[in-house]
Amino acid sequence: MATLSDWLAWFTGHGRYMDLTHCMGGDAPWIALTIVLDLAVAAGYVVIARHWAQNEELLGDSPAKSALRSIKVVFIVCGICGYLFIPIKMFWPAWRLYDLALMILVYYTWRYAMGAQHLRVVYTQLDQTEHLKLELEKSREEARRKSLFLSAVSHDVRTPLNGMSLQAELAQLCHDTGDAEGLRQSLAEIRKCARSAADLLGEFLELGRIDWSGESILREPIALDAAIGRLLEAAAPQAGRKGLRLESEVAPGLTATTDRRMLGRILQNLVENGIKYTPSGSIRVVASSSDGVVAIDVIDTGVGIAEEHQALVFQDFFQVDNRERDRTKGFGLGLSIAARFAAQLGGELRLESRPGLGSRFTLLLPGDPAGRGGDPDGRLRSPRGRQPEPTASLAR
Amino acid sequence: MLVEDDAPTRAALARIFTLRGWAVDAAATVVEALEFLNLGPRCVVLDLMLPYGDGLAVLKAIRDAGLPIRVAVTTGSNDRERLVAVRGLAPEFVLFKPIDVRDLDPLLDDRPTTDA
Repeated sequence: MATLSDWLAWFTGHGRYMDLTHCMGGDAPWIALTIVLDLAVAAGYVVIARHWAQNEELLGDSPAKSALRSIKVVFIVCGICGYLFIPIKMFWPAWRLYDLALMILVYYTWRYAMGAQHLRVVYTQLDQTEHLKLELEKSREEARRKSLFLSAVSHDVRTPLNGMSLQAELAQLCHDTGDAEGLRQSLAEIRKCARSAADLLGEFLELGRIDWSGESILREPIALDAAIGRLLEAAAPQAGRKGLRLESEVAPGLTATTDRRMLGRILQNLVENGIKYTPSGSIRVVASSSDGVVAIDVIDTGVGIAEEHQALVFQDFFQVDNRERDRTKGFGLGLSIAARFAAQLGGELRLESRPGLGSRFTLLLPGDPAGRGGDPDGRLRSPRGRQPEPTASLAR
Repeated sequence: MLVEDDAPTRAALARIFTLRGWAVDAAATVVEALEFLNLGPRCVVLDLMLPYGDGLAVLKAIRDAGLPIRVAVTTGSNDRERLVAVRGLAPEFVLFKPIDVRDLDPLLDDRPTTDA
């Protein structure tokens, strides 16, 4: 009866070294079997590679794709290592042992190769997982933004109420001590706080309407010359108090097919913003049209906005250089409201600014939604086609 | 010392404390508040949301230096994480805006002889 050591000796070729007799003699069938099994493994690899190649396109440029690429590299390296054994086989002709190992390899390679037809499912799932991950990130970011917004709302609503409450307390004290001037000042402050709270409430409601109720857009052809003229007329008293010039330059007969109220609000916010941040000089509104895109520039000779703040000015509650939280400068919502309206109208709002020189806000709108400048939904088709003028000419 | 960025609130509190006989230093920013700490105030009424800094930094500076200053934090924020961080620094009082000035009475003891 054969012992375990006899079986091991048989599997390992009785410790012989390769010579011609082994190739041509008794080992020939085992060598042939090794070659067949090697080919079977290689064929399995080809099948797997084909499935990989077919399904890889399902994944975008994602971490999952990169992980699968790493697995593929490991797989290929393992295959190469297997073939590196061939020289060893020449010196130690344990063909039966190799055949046993190869049979196991063939089994698993083909098992994987047959399963690889389901890779599409795996890849699709991975792709969906990636999408869900991105959605989750977006949703978290949105939740964080809302939380910050609510926190800012809470702060900004309570602050004027707090001021009012304390000024009322002070008014009482002044009344009790017969300080008529103090009482008058306190009442004036209370009026300012109440006005501030009312303005803030108005802006919150406007933001809420834009974000949550999806206001309908009523497009109509608007003569920009007249619309901008009326806007500047309304802003004249505010500009006059600071000694600022209001100017306009509109191409004759230029029209924009858009929502009159939203356009008015965007331009009003931009002009008011210019007035607030311009100590002297002018605010100029320039409207032109190119390739069917209407561009309205609001250019001021104000303090300008540093580069690091330029990306932030359209965010809710952001205010540049209002350290004292002077509420006559607003709440930091005017530009974010303007940017939201611009997006709703299918356009966009851009900023160019240089500290000390001034700022240029550019509203780009599809001139005629059915025409060259916009698609049928009224979206701006190619807003990047218009290059802004050099910053050095901002205020001139 | 008052640390408050809202001008009407700051003016009203400063006037009220002055009428009560306290000497008041009023700061609108964290930087100003940290400078005023060198004047050795006995009490601080501290707003949290300040421009270019967090009022929490002032409270932390007081606690880190072990200064014998009583602090009332006033805030309009409802951010839970922020409030947990505030309470971690153990201010004597946390008051939510709009505040009632009488709520500050326990902070201001009856010896108005130096800075509030």
